[in-house]
Formats: sequence, C-alpha cells, structure tokens
Amino acid sequence: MKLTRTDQLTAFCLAAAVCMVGAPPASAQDIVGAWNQPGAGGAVIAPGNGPGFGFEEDAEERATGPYLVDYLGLPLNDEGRARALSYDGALLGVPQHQCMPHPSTYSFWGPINLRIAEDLDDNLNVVAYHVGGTFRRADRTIYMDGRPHPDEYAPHTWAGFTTGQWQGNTLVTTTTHIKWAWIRRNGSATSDEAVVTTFYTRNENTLTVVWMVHDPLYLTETYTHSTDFVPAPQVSTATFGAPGGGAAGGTFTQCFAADETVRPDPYFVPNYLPWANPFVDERADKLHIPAAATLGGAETAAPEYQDKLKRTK
Amino acid sequence: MRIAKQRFFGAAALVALVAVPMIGVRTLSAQAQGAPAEGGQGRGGRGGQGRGGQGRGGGDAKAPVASVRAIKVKGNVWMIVGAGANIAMQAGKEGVVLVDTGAPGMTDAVLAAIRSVSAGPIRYVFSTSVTLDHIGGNAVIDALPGGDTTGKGRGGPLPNNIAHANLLDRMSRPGPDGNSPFPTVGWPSDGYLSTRRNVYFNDENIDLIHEPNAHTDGDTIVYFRASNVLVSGDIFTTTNLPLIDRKQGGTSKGMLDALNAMLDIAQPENMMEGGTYIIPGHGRVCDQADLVEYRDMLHEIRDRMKDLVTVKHLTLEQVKAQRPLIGWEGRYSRPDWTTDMLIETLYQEYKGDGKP
Repeated sequence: MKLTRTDQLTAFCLAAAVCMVGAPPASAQDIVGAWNQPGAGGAVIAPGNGPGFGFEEDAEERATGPYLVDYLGLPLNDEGRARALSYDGALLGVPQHQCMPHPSTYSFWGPINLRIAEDLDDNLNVVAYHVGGTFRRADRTIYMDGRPHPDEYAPHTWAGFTTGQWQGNTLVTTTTHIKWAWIRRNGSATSDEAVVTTFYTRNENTLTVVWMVHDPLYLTETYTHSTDFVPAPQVSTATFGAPGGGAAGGTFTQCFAADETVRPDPYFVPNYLPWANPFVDERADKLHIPAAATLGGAETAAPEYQDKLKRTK
Repeated sequence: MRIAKQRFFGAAALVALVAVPMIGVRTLSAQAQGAPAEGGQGRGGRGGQGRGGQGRGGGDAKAPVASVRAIKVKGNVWMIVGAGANIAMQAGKEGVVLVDTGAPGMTDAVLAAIRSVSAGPIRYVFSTSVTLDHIGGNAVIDALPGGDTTGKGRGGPLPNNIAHANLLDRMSRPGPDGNSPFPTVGWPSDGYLSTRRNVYFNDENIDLIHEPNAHTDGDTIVYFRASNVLVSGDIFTTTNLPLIDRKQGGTSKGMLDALNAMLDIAQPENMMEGGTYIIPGHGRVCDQADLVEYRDMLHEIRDRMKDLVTVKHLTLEQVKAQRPLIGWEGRYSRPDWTTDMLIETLYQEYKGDGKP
C-alpha cells in the first residue's frame, strides 16, 4: 500500500496527538542545570573552582548570618519569639549542633550553588528532580510521580519529604517531615510541624524560587520569601566541597563535630532565659528603632509598619 | 479531506506502529516508577528504612493500613505502633525479642503485628518502665507457652521478662487490698540490680541500661548494637513534655542524665542525620538530632525553672504566670500531661529537693 503525502501527514498528526498523552505537560519548564545567585563572580570560595555564590541580595544570610534578635518581618507568635530569644550563638559550639545543614525552611536563603538534576523514565517523563548544592547538602528530592507523603511515624530530615507538580509554568512543591530547624540563622526556630511550599518559575535566564513556610506552632501566618538564580554552567557545586577549598569550601559539605572549647560540663546547653536575653536591644539600637520592632510579628512585615515607627519616634 | 478506507487503515497502522509502543512504554514505566518509592526520601534512602514495612511504596495512597502494625526501622528491629506505647521488636533465626508489650487489651493485635514479621517464638520481653501502656500486655505475652504466637506451638519455656529490680519492686508492691494490681505472671522474671544487663540474641549484642530516677526509678533503655537502634521508653517521646513521674521516683535531673547518656550512644551517619535510630516511648522514629532537640528543651526548661524557683523565689502561681515552658506548650502539652502538671512537678522537685 502506498500512502500519499496527505495520508502521511494525517498519520503523523494522529501519532503526534497520541504521543502527546505520554509527554510532559507542555508548560513544564526546563529547570535542570547549574544555577547561581545573582552577583556571583566576586566571591571565590574555593580557589581554582570558579566564582562562589552571589551577594547581590540577602548578603547577611550568605555570609556571617543576621544579627541576633533581629526578627523584623517574621510573623512570630509568642512561642516562636520565646524560642528565638532563648537562642545563644554558643550553641553552635556544642558538638551535636555543629554539623547541622541548612533545612528546607531556610536553605534557599543561605549560600547556595544550586544544581538541579532530573530522573527520567523510559519515556522521558520526569519521575523526580534533585535539588542539591545548599549548605551542607540537605539535598531535596522532588517526587513527581504522585506518591503520597509518609505517615506520622516516618523519620524527619533536614530536607524533608517533597512532592511536586507543574501548575502552568511553575513547579509547585510541598515539603513535609522536616526536623526542628530555623527560619533565619539567629535562632528563629521552626517546628517539626512546619510545611514548606516552594514555587520554581523560569523566565528565560532567570529562575525565581519563592518559598512559603507554614508553621502552626511558631508563625501567625505564612512566611514568604524569594530569591533569583541565573544559569551558571561554569560554577560547580563542588565549590562547596572542594578538598582544601579555602576556609569555607570544605565545611560546606564535610563536617566532623569536635570539642572546640574547654567545656567544664560536656552536656551544657548554651541558652538565654527568654526574659533576659542580653542582645534584645542591640539591633534596634543600631537601626534607631524601638526594640519591639526587632521582636517581629506579622505586623512588622507590612510596609505600613514603617509609618507606625515614624509616628512613635 | 476525505481518506479512502484503505488509506485510513494504512495511516492507522502507521499510527499504531509509532504510538502504541510508546503508550506501552509509558504504562510499563509507570509501573517501574514504583521502584523509587522504596528508596524513600532524601539521600541514600535513609527515610525509606522507616517506611518500607508500611506498604506505602509504589504510590498507593489509599492502601489500607492496620492501626496496630509493625514498621521496619533498621537491621533486625521493627517498631510496633498503635497499641499504646511504642513496642520495639527484634526478630531473627532464634526468635523474637520484645521491648515492652503495649497497653492492656491490645495484645491480640500486637501478636498479629508480630506474626506479620516473624512466626518465631518470643524468647525475651524487656520492660522499660512501670507505666501501664508499656507493660499492659505482659500478663498475656509472658504466659505464652514456649513464647509461641501462632497457636501451633508445643509449649516450652515462657518468655524471659527482664527489667530493673526497681520496676519489679513497684509491680509486685501490694495495693490497698493487699494484692498487687498486676498479675504475677506479668512481673519480670529477672530483675537486674546492677547498672546494666547484656543479652546476646539473633547474632546481636543487646544492652539493657538502667537510667536511675529519670521517668521513674526503674527505667531501662535498650540498645541493639548491630542494628544500631536505641529504645528509650518514656524517657524520650515526640508527643509529650518530659514525662517525669515523681510518685514513681522520676526527677528532671535523672531525665537529663538519661537523655545525655542516650546522646553518648547515638551517632549520626552524616550531617546530624540518620545513623542510630531511636524508638521513642511514643511518636515517630527519630535520630540523634531529634534527641538533641528534646534534651535541649529539658535543659532550657530546667534553667528557666531554676531561675524562677531558686533564684527569684516565686510562688507556684507566679511561676506559672511567667510561662517557663513557652516555646513548647503548643507542641507538647496534652490533656493527660499538661504544661501546668510539669511545672507543678518541677516546682516540687526544686523546692523540695533544693538543688535542681
């Protein structure tokens, strides 16, 4: 049998239509690859391994960390604030705390050379994305195959358990089963009941990641944050773990806890009484604002709050 | 456009040639996608170890789950949930070891959960504390001839129930009517007096370690060395404020010492995660980081109470008004063990015993 060109075209269209059933959603964007925060280039974390992470935004978070008792903009409730005020930075000297990676409630805010990979099935459907490169590598696997989240008896991890789906041009993911962790690196805690919703949207050469932290125990409302990434094929996540990679390189992916100071009581847990934190005024004094502002709360995230501060001066 | 019938079938055949195999691939690959489900979450499938026994692999969200069931934890150790306190089970060629037996009235379901893993006989029962939801099944399980759970056994020695001597003392203590509230068959048959007891079973060293005056004065933690699983009893839970039972000899100091002792045993695999798994008295499977969080909580609560009671000398009502447990109230306070109950317990301890 000989098919005319019209018949062949018809067959091709039919075949294409049928094949589309098995293809990824047309709106799915290609987010796979190496990404870096904008502004990279100046900071070389590991000599010989290219530029490090960017400082164009959130510089505090990508370097030494924020001020103590600076919860401005965080919708903390009384319990969340008390946890934060109890935090003593010396806690990081306790061996059992030294190697904590950045949890999924925070990791995109910290220093990061993002590398996204994908697992494909035989028909090139995405089964899972792997998001790596965050500080100390609490790599996040995003399951795209519709599996349920684990039950209440499953262990919690720093990365948590993540599932996702494409909604239009945006990959929307949900992360549960996260350990007790933090939302900023100054003691602002998140509970093990926190859930994170993350949105990945690619617009040409910009990958925007928006994440929302929902914590019924410590937040009065959802906390939302965002950051941008740009393609960075020259940047390797190995920057974070290069052997002998400068002062910071090795610590980003390798950590061995050890006693760094003389501790008369090896089981001592540094902490402040929440009603007697000595740093409660420090940040406020620097910014010339009332201490109540740096104690956070949903109100402090609203632009109108600046007007309120001006009126109270 | 009109297509002759012959040509239509020709086109359809071409469609079939190209598309159908792809549909087939998709179907098969969709089945194959179930495979990663066994791998679990995050790196190295560590989370999967805790979930493999729950029948959730393969993405069947509606799979029926028995309320009392055994969950594989690690190595030779399972956790039986839904029968009161968590029960740890080690199973192997020599039979079964149980750590605790659950609440009264749940034993049939517990035995079914055990049989879902092993038909071997129960050779040992270790009791972690005198709390009823931990030892409520002792009377039935300790009396199983030959430790047989199948009903087909030929008899033989009863399971050997090991616990600290203080627990035996409390279980055997007569009540108001002159009799122990616990049937004698459920008492430990072997009450150890030293700081620890060791058992070798199923090719594994098992350490029973007494933690004095923690949750009670008769607590035992159990460490399965080869499996690298630690069983805490009620010294550690993910559901409650620290369960300090002063009437049974518990103290906050003993609890802190016990939590620190467990931290000395537990080791993370990498980056404060995985490694030693811990079966708490109640709640989910944990690792060292979860234990650290709980230890830190009690340490901070102790420091706050010490400040209010022994430095500021506040009354009980003044202490409560200060909310010394703020930060953990919403997470852990339960009707049967509330914030106020723990504050009252600690207040009595620090007032009465002086030095916290």
